[in-house]
Amino acid sequence: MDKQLTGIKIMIVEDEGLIAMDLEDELADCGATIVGSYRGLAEALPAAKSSTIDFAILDVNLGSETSYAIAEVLRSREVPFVFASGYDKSGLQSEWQDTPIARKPFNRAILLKLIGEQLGI
Amino acid sequence: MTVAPSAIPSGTRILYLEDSLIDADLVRTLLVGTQPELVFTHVLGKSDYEEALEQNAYDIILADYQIPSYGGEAALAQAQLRRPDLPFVFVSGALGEEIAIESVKLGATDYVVKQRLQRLPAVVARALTEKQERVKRLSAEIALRESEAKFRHLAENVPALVWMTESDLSCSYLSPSWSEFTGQAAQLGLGNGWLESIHPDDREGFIEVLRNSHQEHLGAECECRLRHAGNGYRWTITTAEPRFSDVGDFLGLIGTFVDITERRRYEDELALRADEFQSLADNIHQLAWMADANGWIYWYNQRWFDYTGTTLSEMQGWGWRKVHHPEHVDRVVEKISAHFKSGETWEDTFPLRGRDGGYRWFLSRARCVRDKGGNIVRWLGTNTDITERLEADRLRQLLVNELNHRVKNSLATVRAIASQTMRHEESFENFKEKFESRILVFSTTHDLLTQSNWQGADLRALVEQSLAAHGESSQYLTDGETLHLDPKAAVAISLALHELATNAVKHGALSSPSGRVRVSWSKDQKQNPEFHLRWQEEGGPPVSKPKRSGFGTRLIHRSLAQDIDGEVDFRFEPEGLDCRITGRLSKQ
Repeated sequence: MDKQLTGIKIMIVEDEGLIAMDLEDELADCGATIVGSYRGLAEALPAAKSSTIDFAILDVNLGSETSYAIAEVLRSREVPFVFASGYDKSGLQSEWQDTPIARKPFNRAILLKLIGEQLGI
Repeated sequence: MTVAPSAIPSGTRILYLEDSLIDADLVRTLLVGTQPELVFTHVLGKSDYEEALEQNAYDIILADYQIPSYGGEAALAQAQLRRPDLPFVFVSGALGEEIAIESVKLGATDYVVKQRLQRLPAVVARALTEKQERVKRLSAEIALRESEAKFRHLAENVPALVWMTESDLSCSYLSPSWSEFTGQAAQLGLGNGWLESIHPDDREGFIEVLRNSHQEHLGAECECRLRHAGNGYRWTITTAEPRFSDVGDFLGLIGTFVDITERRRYEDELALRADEFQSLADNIHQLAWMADANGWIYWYNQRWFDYTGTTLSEMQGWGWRKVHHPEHVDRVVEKISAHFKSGETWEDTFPLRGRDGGYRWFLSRARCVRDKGGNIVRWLGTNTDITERLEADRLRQLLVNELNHRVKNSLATVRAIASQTMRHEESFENFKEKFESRILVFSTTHDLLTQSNWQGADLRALVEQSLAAHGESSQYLTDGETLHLDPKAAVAISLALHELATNAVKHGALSSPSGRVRVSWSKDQKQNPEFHLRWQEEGGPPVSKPKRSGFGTRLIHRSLAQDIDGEVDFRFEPEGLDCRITGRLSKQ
């Protein structure tokens, strides 16, 4: 199995349990270390501020919340990340139009390509 | 210069019938003495006299009354027959008072007795003057008769009723058409009678107008109903002008009545049409307006004023700009100005400020009306409120986006189920069976959610649906109250129950006919309420904790716990699996 992401610490913010679980498995298969998988702001925000993170995947819509606050924190820490969403760019706040987006449903190849582009690997 | 009344005009031609040469000389001498420039012709008897009359070369005839061969009366009769316009004066020695009077009665102009012959020049002069006066009077009478004839011809032929009043307001003339029109004989209309033909409601007004006109010596005009011989009354307009004599005295009025019933009907019709237009314009749902060829708006319907809370004086011309939104007004003005110039039909969408200060969106259109020559006459415009339509469009778009999002999320879930199933099943047959059954649960849960318009589902319905495909219904005991779960929890619980039941049939209580599964649930009354779901197996084969956790266990531990924001407790009791699930209820 391709271990392209070996040693890379990834944070996942995704409110759908099944999707989060599968995403964790996929990334782990590629060698990544999941530093945290969170369903909402309450848990994700403190982690985004304090954890050592190389990369993050943020579901835009978290039930009644959105993940922009987490994106804000990551941007200030210069941690690269992508949004995951069923919507295209037009569903993003104007401020985040330049952030890469992983359109749901995505597969491993799409994910690896996006992460590779962001981390330059 | 004054001329002496007794002077005979120079060049006067006198014919004198006299049988006495002495008397003739005497008279000639006398007359020529006062006027040397005379043409004096003396004839002695009947034949010369009558021949002279035929020549028609005289201005006056003098004659002796007693001529033996020819009586004075015969001479007068001849003169009247042949030259009735010439003055005729008797000059006689023996003319008694009675004869003199008789002769004047017969038509002589005057007479002079020879004993007082010195009167003759004055008598001749007066006779000539009188004749001249008579001629003048006659020609004046003829002229008047001709003028009256012309007036009557005119009055009787114009398509109007002609009337005249005197200075005392009485009617002195009505054209023959008066009686044809009103049925009142013109004769009866003279004086004040004609007023009877004017409608009682209009009569006082008519008299008032005439009276003013008479007082001020000015023209008059008024409309009134005039009796019609056919039936009822017809509307007429009467116009009059003052009449003045040669020396400027006011004589009364001359006027006409013209039937304007048709005109009134057109006017009424026009007024009705205008009313209809106004009520149409004010009752259509749109705001409407009209502009002249240059785009100057001169009319708005009532709705415009009702909506904007403005007045025509504020809005006319280009005043409408003040109810436009500051961010749109320049663009709107620029575009409509171009269309006013080109004549092209105009369409635009913009907000307009209502009387409450809020803006609503309008779809506006205007097209020009052209005359036969193709020149723009005016512009007709409407503004249709499309705020609700835009809002509906927005909601529809929102719904489409939401649906798309939901579909994408479902596909992502399906993908995750496939991916996870693959991880745990080595043969394709097993994958196919597990994947299909999981997708089926996912699908039927969607059906339940769709029934509630995606508001959520009742836990009992989810339990019954999830267990129906596994084992005999007699092996299940379900117990719980009505408990509403949100869509996400509903999907997660369904998938979990499916895994529990599949496992029970394969390895647990339901693998033996004596086995039972009790499913119970409840909710608590905490401030953040939680629900408790318990899955208890009994009567099956002895149970031990499995060596490795399968998809079902992971799903329940990892995914379910996340989706219901709760906890899961698996207990592998000897008598059977006891799984306790606690989750947070979304606030309803």
